Amino acid sequence: MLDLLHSRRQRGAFLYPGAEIRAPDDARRGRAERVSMEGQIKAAVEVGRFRLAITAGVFALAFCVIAVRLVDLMALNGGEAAARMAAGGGAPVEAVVQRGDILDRNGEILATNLPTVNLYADATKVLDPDETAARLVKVLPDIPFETARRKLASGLTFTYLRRNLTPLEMDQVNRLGLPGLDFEPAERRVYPHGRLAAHVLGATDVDNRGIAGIERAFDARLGEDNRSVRLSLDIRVQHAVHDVLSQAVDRFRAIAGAAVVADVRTGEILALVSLPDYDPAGYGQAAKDARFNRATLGVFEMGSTFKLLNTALGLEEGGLRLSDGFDASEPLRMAGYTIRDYHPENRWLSIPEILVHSSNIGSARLALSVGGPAQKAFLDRLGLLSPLSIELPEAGEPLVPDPWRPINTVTISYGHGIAVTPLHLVNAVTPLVNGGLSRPATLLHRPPEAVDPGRRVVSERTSAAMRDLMRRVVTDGTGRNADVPGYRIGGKTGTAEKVVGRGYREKALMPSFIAAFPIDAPQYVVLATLDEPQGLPETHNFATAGWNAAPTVGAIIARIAPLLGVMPSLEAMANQEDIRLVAARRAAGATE
Amino acid sequence: MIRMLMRGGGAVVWAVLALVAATGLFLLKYEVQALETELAGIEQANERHREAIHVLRAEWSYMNQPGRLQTLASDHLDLVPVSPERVTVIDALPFRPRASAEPQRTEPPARPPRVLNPGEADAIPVPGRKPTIVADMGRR
Repeated sequence: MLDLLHSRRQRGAFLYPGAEIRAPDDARRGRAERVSMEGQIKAAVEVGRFRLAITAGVFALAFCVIAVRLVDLMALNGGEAAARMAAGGGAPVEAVVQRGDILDRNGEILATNLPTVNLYADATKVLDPDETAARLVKVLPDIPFETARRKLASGLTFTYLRRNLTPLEMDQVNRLGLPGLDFEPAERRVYPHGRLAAHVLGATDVDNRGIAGIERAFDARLGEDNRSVRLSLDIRVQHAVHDVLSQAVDRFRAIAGAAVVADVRTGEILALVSLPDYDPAGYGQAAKDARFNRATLGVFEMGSTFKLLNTALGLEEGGLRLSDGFDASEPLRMAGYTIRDYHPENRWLSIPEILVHSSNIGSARLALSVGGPAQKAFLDRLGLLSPLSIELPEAGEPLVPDPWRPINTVTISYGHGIAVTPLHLVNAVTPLVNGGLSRPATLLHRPPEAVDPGRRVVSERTSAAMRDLMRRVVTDGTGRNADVPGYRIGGKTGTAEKVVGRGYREKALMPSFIAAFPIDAPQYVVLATLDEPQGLPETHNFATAGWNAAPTVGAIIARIAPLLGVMPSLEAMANQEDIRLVAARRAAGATE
Repeated sequence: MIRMLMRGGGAVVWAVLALVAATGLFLLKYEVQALETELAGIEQANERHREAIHVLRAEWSYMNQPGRLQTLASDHLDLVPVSPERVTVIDALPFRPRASAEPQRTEPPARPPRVLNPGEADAIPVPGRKPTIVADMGRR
């Protein structure tokens, strides 16, 4: 090839006409050219060269542009990768599901969305509605044949046959190979803990919109913002409370029950149980009674637990001291009513004795000595006269007498004639034990730095006195059955007669027990209440709070205190040995 | 001769260069395409894994229902809830008695704890005079 080029060069040397005569051989040819390139001709050639260079430059530039573009297109995909890098680097990862999770205080999932598929039919593509329906109901037996046939024959281009198929069901429907059936990706709200926290969580409808509880209260945040909600509940505590309360309801054959555990230092609710309850996934089928949240929506006359508030009223507003007392030797007659004592002592009682023996007469006289307006103002300060403030749509409104007559002052002193929710009572008792600071109860997790500073409602001194008195109720009074050795429990029993129609029914009781532990430096308040428990032979046929609600609270505390890291006290355990020895002696006696 | 070769060879060199560049570019393009496919695959896998993690987290919560764990623990383990007398803090434990130069007081021989109604399963041991039999055995 090079030879070829070479020879062509030799042969094709350019000569102007006639010049070949003067250039007979190779040696002289260059000179001959030089000689001929003179003057005008040379200038013309220069111009030609110049133009050629410019053209070449322009072409070179064009080829460069093409080359760059080629590299860009081939190697960098026309900037697409760079654009994706820029976009993908900083953008948050898209959420897997369309609704946020509900978590407990430790991050355990209480409610979440899971991806599923919905089965729908395009009836215009269905060949034979009868056959299609017959084969479909064989795979999905929960669809009635008639419904499936009607939908498949409806002629609509879109109709849901069944929502939320499992992967197995989806596979089976696919295997049928029926035309006109198709799947749509969907999501389903799942509650891994079932009914455990049902009344707090609430429920969602088929379109995953909240219709009750936290799901409804935080619907915008969970749904539109797709952010999770972290509750103050501790699912372990919730389980322990649920377990113990269910056992108590069964054992005492009560029709219902409610229990609350709250942190007195932050106002956080660690457990909130209302029985009977429901499975949030089957909210629509649940009975109305099961859906009813007794802890926050139901208002009840709470009975003698109000004597705690009454005693605090006397100490705080009435200027009374613990050594003061009232005459409880005779029933108190007022406005056609006679106020009697359930455990009559028939003597003068000091303020601690009034509480320990749960004297209605003494409480009534105490309240009368302080006066109705002061009592009303005090209860208002404790939040008992205003609707419950809680992050649930199911928040009850107290039933308060209007006008506030002296007879109301008397009955309210022992917890009748005013109906509040159990959570109201927890809220009101909390400042009595925590040093006097009232914080709104909350179902949301509060990090330590976000804790409400609190509003002072009673003095430190009153609170300290109330702690002592609550301990005495458990050691010497009606709450003995609540005691758990090691955990210093203080509390108060309350047995309310239920209002039936316009009067009270003596046999329909609603006992409750409210406790704080450890009582020397309270951390938690526990309330349990049972609805119409029955007397049992082992409770000597009593159905009052000391025999059912108090041991229930004791059992709850024994279960939850180790979970919550409450240290049992050593001096309380020293007495434990005596109890063991007594038990041993009794066993010895039995064998003799 | 060499000059002519260079003049003619210039085009050849350029042609070869262009060929090499084009080939390189195409090779690069295929490499890029392969990487793009791989990236798309990884992204899809990521998405699948994220979904799987979400589902598994729900399942973890479901499997960790306290009631279920309680049943499992009572069925398969000999564990019982902690009673208050078994809970204490390190600071509350007494120090080991210091070994003194004085001769040890002769202690009465260790006796096993007295057991009431021996032979019965639920016998309650009553503290004997010397309940620290285990410590004594260690010293011997």
